[in-house]
Amino acid sequence: MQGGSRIQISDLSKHYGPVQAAEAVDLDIGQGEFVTFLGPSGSGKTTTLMMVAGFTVPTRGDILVDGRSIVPVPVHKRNIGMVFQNYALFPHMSVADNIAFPLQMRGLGKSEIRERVARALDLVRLGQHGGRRPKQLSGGQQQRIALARALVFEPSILLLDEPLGALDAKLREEMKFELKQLHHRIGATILFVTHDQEEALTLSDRIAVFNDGRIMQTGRPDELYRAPANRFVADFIGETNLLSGRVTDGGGEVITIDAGGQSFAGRMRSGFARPSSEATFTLRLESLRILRGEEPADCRAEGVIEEFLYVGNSTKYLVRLVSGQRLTARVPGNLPDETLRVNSKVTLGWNIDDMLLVEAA
Amino acid sequence: MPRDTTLIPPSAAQLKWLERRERLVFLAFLAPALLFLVLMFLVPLGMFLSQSLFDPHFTLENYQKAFTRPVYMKILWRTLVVSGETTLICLLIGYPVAFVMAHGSDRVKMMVTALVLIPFWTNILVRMFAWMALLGRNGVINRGLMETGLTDAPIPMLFNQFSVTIGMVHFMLPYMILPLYSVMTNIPQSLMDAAANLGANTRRTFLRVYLPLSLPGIGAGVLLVFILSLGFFVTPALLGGPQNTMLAQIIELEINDSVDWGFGAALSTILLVLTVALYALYDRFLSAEKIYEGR
Ligand SMILES: Nc1ncnc2c1ncn2[C@@H]1O[C@H](COP(=O)(O)OP(=O)(O)O)[C@@H](O)[C@H]1O
Ligand SMILES: [Mg+2]
Repeated sequence: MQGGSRIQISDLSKHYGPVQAAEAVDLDIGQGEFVTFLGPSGSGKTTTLMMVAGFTVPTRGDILVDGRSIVPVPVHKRNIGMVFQNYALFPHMSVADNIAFPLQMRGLGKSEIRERVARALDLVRLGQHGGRRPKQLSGGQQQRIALARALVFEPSILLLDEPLGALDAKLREEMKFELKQLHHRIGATILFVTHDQEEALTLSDRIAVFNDGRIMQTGRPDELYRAPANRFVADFIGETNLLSGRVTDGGGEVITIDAGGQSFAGRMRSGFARPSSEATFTLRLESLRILRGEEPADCRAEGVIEEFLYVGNSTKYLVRLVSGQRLTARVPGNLPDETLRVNSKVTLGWNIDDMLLVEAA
Repeated sequence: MPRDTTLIPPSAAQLKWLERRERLVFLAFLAPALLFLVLMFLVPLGMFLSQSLFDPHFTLENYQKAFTRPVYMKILWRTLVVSGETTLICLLIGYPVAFVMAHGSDRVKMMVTALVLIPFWTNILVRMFAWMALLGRNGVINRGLMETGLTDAPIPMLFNQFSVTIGMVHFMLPYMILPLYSVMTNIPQSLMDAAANLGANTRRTFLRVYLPLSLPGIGAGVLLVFILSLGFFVTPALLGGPQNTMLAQIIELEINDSVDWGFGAALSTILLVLTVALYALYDRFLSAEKIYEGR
C-alpha cells in the first residue's frame, strides 16, 4: 500500500550531563524492514527512537531517511507514524476524530477524510467504534486505534515504543500476529521497541540489542540466538548456562576452562582474542541432553536433579554436577519423564560445538 | 463451646446487614459536620431568606422593589459587569502563569508558586491598605510620576473603578490560577507529543488539544472567581467610591443602616439564586466528566 523508507543512523549519541543515554548508535535499516530495539530498561531504546521521531535532539551523529538528514526537520513535518507507550489518544475526541486528526493537519478534504478514517478503522477491525470516546474502549482496542491513527496518513516509517506492554498475555499474542500481518500489508519500515526478547524474536526481521546506551549486536533473530557475539547478548536472549572460569588449556583449537570445579571444553571462536586467563562459554538449555545408558555424546557430566519445572511444552531440570557446578537442561515434550525426580542420578551430555565462546580475557 | 461460624454460609440477610453497616459508618463520620451545617447555617439562612417573603404575612413587595427601582437594577448590573471584567482579566493573566507552574522546570515552578501563594496568605485588609498607599493622591505612584516630571497633577487612581478592578483582580488571581494549575498539571505531555507527531504545529496543538483539555480548569476558575466577585465586599468598600457600590455593600447598608431586613434578604436571595444558576451551568457544560466522556 505505501512502501517503506531506508533509515541510516550513524554515530547517533544523546548525553544528559554525565549520562550517556545513547552512545554511537550505528544502524542501516532497509526499506520495509521490521527492526526491533531490544534491551533492558534504561538501555537507551526510547532515547534512540525519540531522536528518530524528533522529540529529542541528538548530542552527536545523524539520521538519514532515504538519503536526507531529518535531524533539522521539526517533529510535525517529519511525517513519521508513531504509537506511544500508553497510546496517547486524545481523550476529548471521538475515535474517528482521533484518526481524522493527522488528515485534518494535512489539509485533506472532508469527504476524503471520512473515507480514509473508515478504511483505517476497518484495517484494525474496529469499524463500528468510530463514535466512541477512547476511554470507552478496552486496552487492546485503544491500542488498535492508536495504530490506525499512526497509519492513516500512510507514513513510510512507523515507530512503536513498547506497544504491547500494557496488554494482558493473551491479547499480546493476538496483537503480535496482527502486527506482523499489518507489516506485510502496508510495507512500511517499522522500528519497534521492547524489553521482551520473545516479542523481538517473533516479530523482527532484525534485532538491535541495546545495553547502556550502546548496540551490543545487530542481526537476524536466529543469528542472535544461535551465535551471540558477546556475553551480554547470550545472557539476554533466550535461556542459557553461562560458564565462566580460569583457562586451564588455551593454546590449541579447543579451549578448556575450570568453572566451579568442573572442566568444560569449547572451540576457539573467530573474532575473539585468544583467552589467556579467563573465558566464558554459553550452553543453551536445549543443547543439554539427559543420556540413557551408553548413548554417545562429545562431552558428558554426572549429577543429581535438584529441582524440575514443568512448563507445558517442555520440562526444565536443574542438575547439580558431582563437582558442585549447576547446569539447567530443557527436555522437550509435554509428558514429563516419571523416572526423573528430585535426587534422581542423571548423566548430562552435549556436543562440543554447542559450547560457544562469548568472552575471553 | 463457640460455634464455628465460618462453616455456615452467610444468609442473604446477613450480607445485607454487612453492606448497610458500611454505609452507616460513613454516615456516622459525616454526622458532626452535617449537624453543624444544618443547625448553624441552613436553618438561620432559611430563616433569614424567608424574611424576604414574610412581613409577617406573605408578600412579594421586597422583590418588587428590587426589580423595579432602577438604582437596584443598576447596582446588580454593575456587580455583574465588574465581576465579569475581573474574571476575564484574571483568566488572561492567570492562564499563562498556571501553564508555567504546571509545565516549567522545578525551580521555575517553585518560584512562581511562591509568588502566587504569598499574597494568598496575606490578610486582605493589609493588601487593600497597601493598594491605597500605592494608588492614593499622595501615593507612591503619583509621587513618583510627579517627581520625575511625567505629570503635573496627581492622576486619580483611587476610589474609582480602576482601583476596585485592580484590587479585585489581585485578590482573585490565586482562585483562578490554582484550579487551572490542577487541571493543567494532569494533562500528559505525551498528548502534545502525539499532536506534533501527527502534523500539528504549536498553535494547532494548543487550539485542538491543550485548550480543550484545560477547559475544566477554565470553567472551575471562572466560576470560582465570578461567584466570589459577585458577593465581594471589602475591596469595593475600601478602594471604590460611591459610584462603584456593589450588591454586597447594598445588602450591608439595608441591614445595618436602614434595618430593612426583608429587603436585604430579598437582595441576598437574588445573589444566591444567581450563584446556584451559574454553578448549574458549569456542571452542565464544562465539568471534567463532560470533556472526557462526551455527552
Ligand atoms: N530527559 C532525560 N534526562 C536525563 N536522563 C534521561 C532522560 N531521558 C532518559 N534518560 C536516561 O537515559 C537512559 C536511557 O533511557 P531510555 O532511552 O528511556 O531507556 P529505555 O527506553 O531503553 O528503557 C536512562 O538511564 C535514563 O535514565
Ligand atoms: Mg523506554
